[in-house]
Amino acid sequence: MTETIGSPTRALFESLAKLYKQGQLLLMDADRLMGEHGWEPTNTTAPSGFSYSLNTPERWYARWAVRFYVPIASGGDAPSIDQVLFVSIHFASDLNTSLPTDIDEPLISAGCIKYKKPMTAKVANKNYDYYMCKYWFFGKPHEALEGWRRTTNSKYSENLKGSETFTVPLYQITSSEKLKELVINPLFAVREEEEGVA
Amino acid sequence: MHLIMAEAKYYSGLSSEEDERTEPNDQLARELDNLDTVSCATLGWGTHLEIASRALLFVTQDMGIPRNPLVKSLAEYRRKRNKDGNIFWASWRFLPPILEQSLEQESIPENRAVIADMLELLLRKGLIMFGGVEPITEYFALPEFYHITPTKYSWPVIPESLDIDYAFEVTR
Repeated sequence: MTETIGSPTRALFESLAKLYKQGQLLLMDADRLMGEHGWEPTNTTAPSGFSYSLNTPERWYARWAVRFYVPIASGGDAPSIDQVLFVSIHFASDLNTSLPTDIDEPLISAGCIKYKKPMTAKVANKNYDYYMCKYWFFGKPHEALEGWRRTTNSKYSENLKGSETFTVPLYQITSSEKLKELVINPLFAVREEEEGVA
Repeated sequence: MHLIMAEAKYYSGLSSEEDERTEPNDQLARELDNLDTVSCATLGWGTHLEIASRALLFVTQDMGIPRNPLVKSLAEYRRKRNKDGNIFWASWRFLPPILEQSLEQESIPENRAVIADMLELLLRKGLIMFGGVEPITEYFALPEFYHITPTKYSWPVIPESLDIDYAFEVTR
């Protein structure tokens, strides 16, 4: 329980700042845990999709933050990246956009973006974008993975095979151990299963 | 004597990278080089002492080990000096719980003051590990702010200089 002193408006913004701060720490911890599995973040940013326009105040604040990951040492000239993993937090509904989302309690969405042909890191960088962290909201139930959703193909990227994603309520992540158990481990359990089958 | 050199960062990265010169130029590789060449005499500690071990400690604000810069630094050092360097890594974020424990055990007021000051600074900078998410429990109800009560609007009168007497010409 957070004690707040001051006006309701101040409490509102301080609560928002605290929520974002917790989101920052969670994503930094996700970076650490993904690193233990041999995956590294593709860049240093997290939130995106802001608007500077006077006409769209609903996009003046971060509705989500996301980290994308590729295998460590995949930055060479050989095309080796056929999946990009991500962990994202969806704090609030994304309204008046081409991919709107509807959020009540905040969610973590994680998953993988799969490609038909392996790519170099340079090519991979042009083949994923921040909006892909919203794929769960538009996916269909996954036939093989309970609670997961999937999308197939994309009109924007010829090489995109699809996505496999799942969500966890943000407030269930009460510790670093929970982040590992509920978000990171399921991501890699699926990968290991696939590699075993292959 | 054990010699430890500390390189502490906050948000900035390394200040220099490998280049074509023969000696190491990446910041950490250069510091490994410096660490290797100093002696008790050059440090002004007297010649009767002997350095038993040397280590470079790299402190950053990351939660996990910053693998890429360390790999690059060690690779340049190995390539140009033909031996391996030792770099240890720690995060500022590991310190708050250690300082809290120290505070409980420390009784000397001067030491307590330094530890408490350091702890306060780290917490103010938000340099902590992830400890779970706490839900927001307050409701922030904003009143409906669309008012249908008409407001009197006024516009400035157009100055005479802008009052143009248009003449229209109709053509067929």
